[in-house]
Amino acid sequence: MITFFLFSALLLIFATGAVLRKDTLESSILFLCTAFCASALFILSKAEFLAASAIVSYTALTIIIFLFTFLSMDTKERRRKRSLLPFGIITAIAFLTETVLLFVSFIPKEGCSLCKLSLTLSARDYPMLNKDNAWELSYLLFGNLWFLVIITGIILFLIMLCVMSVSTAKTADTEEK
Amino acid sequence: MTIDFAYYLILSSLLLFIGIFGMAFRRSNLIRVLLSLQIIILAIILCFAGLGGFMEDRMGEAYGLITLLLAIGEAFLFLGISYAYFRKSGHIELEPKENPKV
Repeated sequence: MITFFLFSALLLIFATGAVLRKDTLESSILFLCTAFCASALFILSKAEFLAASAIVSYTALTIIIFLFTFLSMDTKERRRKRSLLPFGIITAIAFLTETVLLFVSFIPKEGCSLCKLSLTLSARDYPMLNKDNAWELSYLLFGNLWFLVIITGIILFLIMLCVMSVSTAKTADTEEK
Repeated sequence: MTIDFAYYLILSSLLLFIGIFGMAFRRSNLIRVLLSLQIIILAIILCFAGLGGFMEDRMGEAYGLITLLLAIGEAFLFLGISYAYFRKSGHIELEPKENPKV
């Protein structure tokens, strides 16, 4: 219960910061923190697969927002942002350490080397895959909710076509050139 | 220990309020509008996940996953429109700056 209230408070603080900060890059970082706190709450409500999907999706979205915002800046603003480089390096090291720790936690207890891991890789050795969360979810999605999955797929396909046509459409300036 | 659904509902309402506040009053540029929109959708997904956890059923998680997929698709569509807007106008600001820096 304490964990729930802790992550709820963090979620609200980060979301408020993401909305109120003036700098777009800081807002997107705070939004990523919001997504991480929301993922922690998903895990507390026993929705581990949703939490993993949310982290992966929102991290990709934040990276693309970063690139887009950075490209839309002028040169002076870009130079000003270089002062944030040490914080970026510290964050990158923290995330890298977290990833390594996560990877190490997957190593089976019998063989603790990476070579043995690649040889003995199977669903039985992974503690995460022993849980029935993903299996139950897949049965549900492709069983009871198959029509919803198909409609979602069609909508995503249409969105992909729209994004391609919008981003490659010629503007009036381009046609004049 | 199962967390009561009322807590999730209150939290989702607060998150929804923050997102709507951002959409209504903090529309300085397109990316900020996108982030506010994503916060609103995150509130909906949180509500689904909380309901699924409370009912001890995977249905809430499944609906949350589908909502997440649609949210990400919508975000990329929004980014595509933002890119088209940027190519046309050269900036992503929706409101003109009061004191533009030269």
